[in-house]
Amino acid sequence: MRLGIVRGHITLTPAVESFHSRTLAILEPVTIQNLRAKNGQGGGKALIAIDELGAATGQMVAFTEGREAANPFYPAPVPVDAYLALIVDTVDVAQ
Amino acid sequence: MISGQWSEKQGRRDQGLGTREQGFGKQVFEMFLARVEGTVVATAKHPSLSGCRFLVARRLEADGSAAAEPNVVVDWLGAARGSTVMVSTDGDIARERFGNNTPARMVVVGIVDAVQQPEIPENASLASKQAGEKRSAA
Repeated sequence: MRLGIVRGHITLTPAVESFHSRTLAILEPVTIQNLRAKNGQGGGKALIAIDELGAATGQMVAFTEGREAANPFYPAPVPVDAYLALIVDTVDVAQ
Repeated sequence: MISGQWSEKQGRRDQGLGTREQGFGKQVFEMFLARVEGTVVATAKHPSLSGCRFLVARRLEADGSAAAEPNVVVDWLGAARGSTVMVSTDGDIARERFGNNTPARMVVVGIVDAVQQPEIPENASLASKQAGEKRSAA
């Protein structure tokens, strides 16, 4: 999993069946410098993840990538590459 | 990184996910060593992950440098901050523990006591020689 900040949400009206009524979040991954600085900035390359937790814009989250991103929908085959698994309350990192 | 030497079969995976040299946001999924930087507390999470301990860890390269983007890894061995851990990116062990529906992927599979890095032999590849030079300079 990596850490990311929610920058927005996406709505798909024509979509494949497995994406119906799913929420998609735009995430900006966070680098260690920005994590330590706690400046609310990301610094990574943005990506899209399925969000079942209802994360709000600006919140820090952790997301899984790869094949495991589709595990929560098992056994349904859902074409996802990133899954929002945690909404972060606090991160405690050494300076 | 070994992406240039990968077989055709692995190359497909390589093109899909990219290598970390190609920039942020792309990762190769393989076992790696990481340094524990801290912990993550999360109330809202996938139900399979309740009660899990989450660490912030940075992947280490052969020369001892750490990746710019940290990873969140699941830990049940009790790794302390500052320690070096081995992380597996295969989700099987997580599925075994948390169920088939868990999105967990990166799991601490061991806490490192020592890493043995012997002298680089004369006939080693250029890349490993450079890594050795960087290591001895550090």
